[in-house]
Amino acid sequence: MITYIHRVSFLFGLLFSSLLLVSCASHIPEYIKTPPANNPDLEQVRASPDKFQSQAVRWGGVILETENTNEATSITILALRLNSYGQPIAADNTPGRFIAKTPAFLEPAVYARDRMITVTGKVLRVETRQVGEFSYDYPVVQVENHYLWSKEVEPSDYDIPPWWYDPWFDPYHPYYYPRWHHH
Amino acid sequence: MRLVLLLFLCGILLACSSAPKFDTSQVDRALTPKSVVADIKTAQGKTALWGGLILETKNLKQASQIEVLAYPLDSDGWPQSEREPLGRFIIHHSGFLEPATYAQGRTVTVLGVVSQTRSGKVGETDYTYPVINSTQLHLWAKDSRQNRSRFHFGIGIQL
Repeated sequence: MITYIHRVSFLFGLLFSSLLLVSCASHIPEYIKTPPANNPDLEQVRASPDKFQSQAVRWGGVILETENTNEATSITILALRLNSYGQPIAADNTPGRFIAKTPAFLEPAVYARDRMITVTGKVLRVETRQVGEFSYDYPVVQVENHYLWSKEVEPSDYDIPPWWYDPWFDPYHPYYYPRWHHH
Repeated sequence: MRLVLLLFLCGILLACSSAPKFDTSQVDRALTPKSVVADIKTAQGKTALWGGLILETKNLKQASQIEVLAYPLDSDGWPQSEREPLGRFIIHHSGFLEPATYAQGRTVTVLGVVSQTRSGKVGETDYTYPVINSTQLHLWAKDSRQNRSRFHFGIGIQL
């Protein structure tokens, strides 16, 4: 009987914790959560841009600048590593800068410096611009989808595994622990 | 299984607690930005370990330049910004450093060789900066001031 209760409570625990994980990620659209096939690193594209022209990418990071023209909006982004939901992880180690270009008007007061953004799209070309006196090669991405992360949410760098909450978590728990509960 | 997890967690804690390693064998501890400016001829070519708060990062064609307000370092090389500042200096680093990362207010420590002095202005006041060519540059993590007794995060660049 007690073994049965154990088993049921274990199942409920599993269900509940998977619900937790699902609910954390549920507001993130699928096109941001799922990277395209062979999603290259920004470093790879900066090193050999010709090889990656028209390549589908999912990149993200922190906004440095948003520029609006009559035809397009260009967002300069300092790239960061993404977690498995596609959310940028705040860090000092950056793969570099890139430019996200879209024909839509994006409000620069909203797409402001220091906001986190993830974009998907295709690599158009590499554009050289000056950072001070340094000639910087920016990969330009034609944006297909983008997601501006809310200011409040702290990025997490991993999907929290169950033993984070319970270091003694043991998936076999109901079957052989504790011994004296077996009848 | 549990033992493996425990060992793994201990490993994480150990990995976080290592301070940056500076090769201080050549370092002349008596050098300060002020003493170097006072006698650049004697100081030239000597190795210094200096650090402080970033005032500005500029990108040149093939190098980067960080203007720093120096503070006395503790035994880990951490600039103690609650103490009296030691004056300004310039770090010359070959290659590109991201100015959005090496931003104003961030803490750096540099191991390098004293190369020259340079004149500039602070407001309207003439100011002479010592320039140090970096061989090892460490950017301290933003929150390392609060947690520094237990954790040290950060990135380092070694030439």
